Amino acid sequence: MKHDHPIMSLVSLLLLALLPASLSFAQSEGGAAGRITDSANGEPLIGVYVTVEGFDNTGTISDLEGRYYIADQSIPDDAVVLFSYIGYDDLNTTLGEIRRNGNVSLSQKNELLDEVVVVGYGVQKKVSSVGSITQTDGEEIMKGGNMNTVSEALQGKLNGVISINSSGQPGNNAASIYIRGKSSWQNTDPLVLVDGIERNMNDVDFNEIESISVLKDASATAVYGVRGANGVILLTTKQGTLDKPTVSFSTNFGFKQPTARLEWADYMTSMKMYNEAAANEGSWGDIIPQSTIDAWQNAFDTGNYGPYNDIFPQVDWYDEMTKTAVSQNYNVNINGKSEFMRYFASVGYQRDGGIYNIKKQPDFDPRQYYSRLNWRANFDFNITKSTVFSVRIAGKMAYRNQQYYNNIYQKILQAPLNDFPIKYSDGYWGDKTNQGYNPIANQTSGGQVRNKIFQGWYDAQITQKLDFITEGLQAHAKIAYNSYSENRDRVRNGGIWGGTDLQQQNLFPREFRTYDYSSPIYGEDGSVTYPIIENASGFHGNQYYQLPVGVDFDALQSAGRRLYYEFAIQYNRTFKGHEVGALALMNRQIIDSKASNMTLDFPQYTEDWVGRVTYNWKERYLFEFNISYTGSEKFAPGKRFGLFPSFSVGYRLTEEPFMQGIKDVLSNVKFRYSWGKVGSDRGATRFQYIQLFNQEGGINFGMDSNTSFGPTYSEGNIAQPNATWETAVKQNLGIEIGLWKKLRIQADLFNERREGILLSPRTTAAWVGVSITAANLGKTKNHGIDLEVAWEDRIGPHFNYFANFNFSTSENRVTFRDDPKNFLEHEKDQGKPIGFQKRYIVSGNYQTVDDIFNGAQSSLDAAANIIPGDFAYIDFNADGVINDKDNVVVEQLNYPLTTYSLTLGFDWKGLGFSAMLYAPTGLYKNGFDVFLWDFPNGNIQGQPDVEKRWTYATAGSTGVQRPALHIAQKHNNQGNTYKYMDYSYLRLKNVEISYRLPRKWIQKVKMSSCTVFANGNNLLTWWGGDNRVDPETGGENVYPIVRSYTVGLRFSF
Amino acid sequence: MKKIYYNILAFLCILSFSTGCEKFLDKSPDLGLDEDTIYESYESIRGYLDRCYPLLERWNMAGANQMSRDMNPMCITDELASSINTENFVVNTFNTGNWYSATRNSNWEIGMQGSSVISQSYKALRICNRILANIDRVQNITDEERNYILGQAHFYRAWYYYQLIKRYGGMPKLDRVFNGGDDDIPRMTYRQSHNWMMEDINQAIALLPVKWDDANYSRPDKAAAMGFKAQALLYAASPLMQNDLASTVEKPYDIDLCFEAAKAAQECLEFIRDNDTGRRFTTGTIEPGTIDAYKGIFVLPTTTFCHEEYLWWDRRNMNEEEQANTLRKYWIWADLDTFTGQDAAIVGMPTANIVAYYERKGPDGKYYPITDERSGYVEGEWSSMQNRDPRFYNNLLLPGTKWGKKGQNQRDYYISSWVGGAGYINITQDNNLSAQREFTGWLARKYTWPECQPWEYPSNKNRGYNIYRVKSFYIRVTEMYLDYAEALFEATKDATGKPEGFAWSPKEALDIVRARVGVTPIVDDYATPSTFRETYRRERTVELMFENHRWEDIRRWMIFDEVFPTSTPIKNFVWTCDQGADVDPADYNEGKDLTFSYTIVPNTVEVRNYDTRHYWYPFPGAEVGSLDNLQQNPGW
Repeated sequence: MKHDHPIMSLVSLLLLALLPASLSFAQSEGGAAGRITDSANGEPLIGVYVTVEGFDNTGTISDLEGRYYIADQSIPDDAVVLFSYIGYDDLNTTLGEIRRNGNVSLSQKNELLDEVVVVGYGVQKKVSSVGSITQTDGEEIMKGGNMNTVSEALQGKLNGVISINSSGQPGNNAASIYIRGKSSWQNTDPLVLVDGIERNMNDVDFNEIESISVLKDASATAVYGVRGANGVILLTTKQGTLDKPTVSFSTNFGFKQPTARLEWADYMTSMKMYNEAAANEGSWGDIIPQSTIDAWQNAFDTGNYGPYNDIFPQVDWYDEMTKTAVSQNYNVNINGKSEFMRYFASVGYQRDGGIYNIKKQPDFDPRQYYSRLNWRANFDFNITKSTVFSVRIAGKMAYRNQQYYNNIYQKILQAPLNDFPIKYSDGYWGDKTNQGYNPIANQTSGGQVRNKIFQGWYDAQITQKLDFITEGLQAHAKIAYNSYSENRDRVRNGGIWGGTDLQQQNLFPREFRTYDYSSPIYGEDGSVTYPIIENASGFHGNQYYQLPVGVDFDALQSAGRRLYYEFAIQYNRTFKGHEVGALALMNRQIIDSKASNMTLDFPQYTEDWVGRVTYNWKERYLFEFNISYTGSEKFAPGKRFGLFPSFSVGYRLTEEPFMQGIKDVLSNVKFRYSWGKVGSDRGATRFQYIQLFNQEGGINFGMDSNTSFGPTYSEGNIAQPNATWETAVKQNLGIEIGLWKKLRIQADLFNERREGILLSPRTTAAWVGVSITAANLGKTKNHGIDLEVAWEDRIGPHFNYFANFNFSTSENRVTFRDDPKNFLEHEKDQGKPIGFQKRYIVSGNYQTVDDIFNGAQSSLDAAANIIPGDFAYIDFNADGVINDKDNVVVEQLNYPLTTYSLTLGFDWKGLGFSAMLYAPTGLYKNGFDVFLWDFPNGNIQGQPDVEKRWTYATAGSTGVQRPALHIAQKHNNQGNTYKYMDYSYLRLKNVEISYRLPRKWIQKVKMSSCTVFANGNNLLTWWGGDNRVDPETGGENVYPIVRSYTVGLRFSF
Repeated sequence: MKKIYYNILAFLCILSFSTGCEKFLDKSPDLGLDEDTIYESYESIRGYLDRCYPLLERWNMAGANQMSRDMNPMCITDELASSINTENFVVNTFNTGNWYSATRNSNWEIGMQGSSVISQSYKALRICNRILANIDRVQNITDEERNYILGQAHFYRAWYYYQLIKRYGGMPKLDRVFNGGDDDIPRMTYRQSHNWMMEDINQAIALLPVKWDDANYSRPDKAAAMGFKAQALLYAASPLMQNDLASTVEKPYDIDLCFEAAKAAQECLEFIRDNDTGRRFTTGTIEPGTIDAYKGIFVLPTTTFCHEEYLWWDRRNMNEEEQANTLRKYWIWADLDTFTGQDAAIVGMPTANIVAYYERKGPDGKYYPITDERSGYVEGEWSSMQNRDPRFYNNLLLPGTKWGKKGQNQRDYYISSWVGGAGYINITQDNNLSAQREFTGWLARKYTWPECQPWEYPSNKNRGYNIYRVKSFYIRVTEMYLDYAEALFEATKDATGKPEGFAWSPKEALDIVRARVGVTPIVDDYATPSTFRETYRRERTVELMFENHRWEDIRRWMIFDEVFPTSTPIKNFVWTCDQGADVDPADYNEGKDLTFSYTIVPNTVEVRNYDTRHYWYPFPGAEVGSLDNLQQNPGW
């Protein structure tokens, strides 16, 4: 299955390297010998590697006249001989063959000629394409390791695409994506199309993916008009391409564990520090008595403590609650073609387990997992010589199962380590007096939630060549249908649906016992126990938990369907170097969706008219013009449709005749420029052009009985009949350089001006009394650079290696956002980046009481007890008071705008290795309180570095220090720069090692290929912050980011 | 074969083109309703007007009161201390005086974001202004119906405008439907705003019916408007309201408005006396500890939605869960509620400050303020808790009181608020409370009853919470006597004189209120020109306690300095049980024989950081920044 279709050959080419020039030559007598020439012009080829498979020492290199000689006569005739040469297709033959006739000719492989890119509504040859497009393929995606969503797998793979993953929960781990920075404060999600239809790409089985193409500039996205401004991602599934029917199997098996591990200061230190904090605050009543401390010290000394110890509980909730998750993937697919048809069919199954250590219960299963079945059948029938009929049927069925109570990780963080045991010795769960603080009890006894997701995709297309009208003309019609539904089953202890909060928290009995450590009772045998002070058994002793489980079965959460149809006429022809292409296309969609309340939303409609003209002369001067006339039913008639033109020009310097002489050195130079206008209707709400009056329920009056008066009517928001889409004007200047056919550099400079971003007016008086619908008011600008440098080479006949470096950065500014006119400059949004952050600036710690009283007085929290060691904030406006006016814009953003990625790899006799490093920088986030401050949630639990606090002993040192201890943080926990931390990181995102078994081994079992591989994901992370937090995580209450290790096997017949 | 495909292709092409280029999108749901809909009939315009009703502030409903979500809104005054600080707004923002706080950004209006009293009022004003401007467009309406609509619209416009000027001071004349761009208009002074509002109130009095039929009962009627008029006039006469927009300083009462206010209060009382309005001043047995006539004003039987004493109230019914939440979050001791969730630990705890307002019956049988030694009050002694004003026992819960049952086994429960008592331990050890708040030693009783606890009583869920109804009410008949006394005294500075045309002297008016609950008339010492101001304010504080009046009163009287002299002005009782901390009250004649002593200590965490600028609320920064004519209040 080698190089039979364009994308596969692209991959192969990445691995193909060029030979170093060599002047050594061999004798041409005896054995096998011959001459190697260029198939096109008969010129001799110098320096061709000639190797015999299985006979490593017999390789040779062709001489100045193209001659080679294999001396060893003992090699059998059926040995395979490989001729490989820079820029030419490899040639495989047998030794017997060349013993008969040793002369061979190699044909030039012009990689640039073969390579295609997927563009909107078609494919283009890469050489003559002028859009800014990056592309990857299914094989690359699969190297990402054990992941189950496409958005996750894209991280670092595509230049200019930033993918942020914030959760690792099975089935709920899609990453959010934005392309080329942010140009709007509205939704910046790109448009995602799978096989040309708007679909969720995340659950596509990686084995089904042919390619993923990202359209970045307006030249590429203008055809999507009103939906194209945020960029477009095109996922294409595989088609039958192989001459021989090939069945492929793949399977992998993986383990996952959180990338970060929790730990705290030990309890003795925590108690000591807690007393210091209590003393700092003058909360003498909070001081832990020495008798308690002594009792615990004794418990630790004698080992009388543990997770099930009634009196001295110590529970490492993280250890108790997490485990290594297991995941499995299986896929079988068939790929083939004949004269009549081409086919690709695939079935995949995946099961992804959770990292929480939850046990199956008798009545329900609260464990976390995601299991998914994918299927796909792509057929193309050649009905006549000029007619192709294509059908694609695909779908998935998935179950996402989990415990009833969410936010497990938060519960683990909040659970006190030394307040209560997991269970008391008499079998009751331990808990605090209020709320469910025992995460194990909470999860195992809470109940179960299972979501069932179904998705079906059905496409049919007929393509007719119309060469009888004029050569190169063809037309197609396409119809597609999507359906989607999500249902939910829930099971709960106690059988209460619609019960009060009160009842729901009483589903299982818990106890909280406190002991009087000051009055030990010494037993006759020398044992020590302590009297119980109190048993706050608030959750214990009601009967709800004794009821049978309650079930809420198959409740519809959401459902949707989408009908799409498209007609197009295309023309492609070349006349004496003039290559002309044209496309005219129209499509429509009807989208129905249904929310859980079972009401069908009013369908959404879209309609697009698209035109494209491409022209090039000898692939040297390139022109392209795109136009779309697209509409969005979100806006009023007359404001609905818009024309979105783009044009682009390209120039390939290396195609000039005078450049041919140095083509071996300078293999490719291409300049591109594009200008275009695109829109985005993402931020708009439907029908806001209509001034609504809503009918509402009745209102009751009456003295002793209810009389309802109604219906009542309320006025909707003030309509904006003139509202329309955001408009982006994008320019892109690109240059592509190829050197020695080894080094490839591509740089794109882009610039975008966005206008008419929908924005609710912010300068109207509140007494207008209703909201005013968003109008097209906002303006932004965004610019940046994408840079890609790739090196591919070969050392010797068997060792190929490559390195690929991506860098992209951008910068944006709000240029208008209806700021109140009397605001001071620093209070306005204008001139600041999208999503800018404000913080109080920490200048240092107060060193003495005098500092506190002589400095600016804080009015942030009057209840705060400020002591030496607390933060001093900068009085930005110098009015002597620290208040909201000193909360100022900081430079750092909470999303990354600059990313680096480096992919390295080699291939040596079937042994493959690749590794990717990924680093987003300039990303800041608020540190989580639970990791920043000691005694979070009132628990006597210090941070591991609790002893590095400010003390009088460290007073006077410069810089910002960890502040003095408090029981509860007030003053220090304002939104300040200390909390706002650099979350930039460098991560070894994935590593794959694979071994392709030699053909002669597998031929015996009739396999055509067999590869074993092992890969790892998120293996190493370097960052400047707390190692208990993964820098990518979305918050303290989300499922942690995981590291995974996978082993797998792929083989085909 | 080929031909068929071409035909299909051609057919599809024609089909798509024939529907036209843009027509495909020209679909929108049949929304049907536009502005004309509301002018179709009396019913439709009433349906529009009635949206004003749900915008009323439900101060006595957890989750709906527009000051804060889960915390009793009276925790900003000296009436209550909060036991939990998860409600950041009240504890961290409001009480610290940081009303312009950046933590909620400077675009925030005071109150619960998005649904504060202020923004709700703006919504209602828009409705009223549209009706008043377009009433002539209504087609099928009789003159009587037209008056009903107009009367209510004037009433609501005044009521909601009043909510604004009470908080912001003078406001622009908001007499039309604004659409943005036409809204930058100047503020008037409080007096000018008041005068414009009075036009509406007078219109409402003229147009509203004396009594709605049974089905419509609880809509604003003539008596409601008259009560509102008296209160509005008294407010307008008050010291704070004499200020213009430029400064806030202490000023004397306005004598003319005082006379008008007293007159209006008297007219209201005479009107309900002389007409069949369904309203009256409640009389009947007063027997503290039972649901007597007085207690019955605050806890209504479930058969009714209103009380004859209410002049203007929120009739809306709370469902079982809403009422249960309200009682658990506002009024019931968390210990009794056994900490079922964070919300149930939220209590408005009466303060030692407010307890001190109740008079005590001295040995001579007369009631005196506790600062007067004739009252027999001795700080620290249990006897000081005996013989207090009967409203003391109606409104507050003392330690040792037998109060309902607790737990599944329904054992008798006693209020154990003394140091070392079971409830005290639970409360003070509860993380939500002990970490950041302090127990004041007091619990409220006004809106609860002993069966009001979560355990099943007698069988169904929440039953104990729903034996009675509690309501948010705004004006009740008794307030008319209090308003009258204040207004007339401040007009004449004479507590006992009765000018021509006035029915009672200020003292007589208060004595009516006192007599109802069995408190002796005001002794002469406290009815002199120099003492009576304190007397009527004390009476008002006690009678209207926990009724959401106190905050407005201390502001309009401009007495922050008096009420909140320090940054932590609130005080706690620390009770000691003379029979021992671990006593079982059941052993002492059901707790009746228990005795306690107490000390009063400052509450170290309850701040009330208010100064002169806090008498008026600040306008949101973005609004001041956008509107050239909107003058910010002094000090903000």
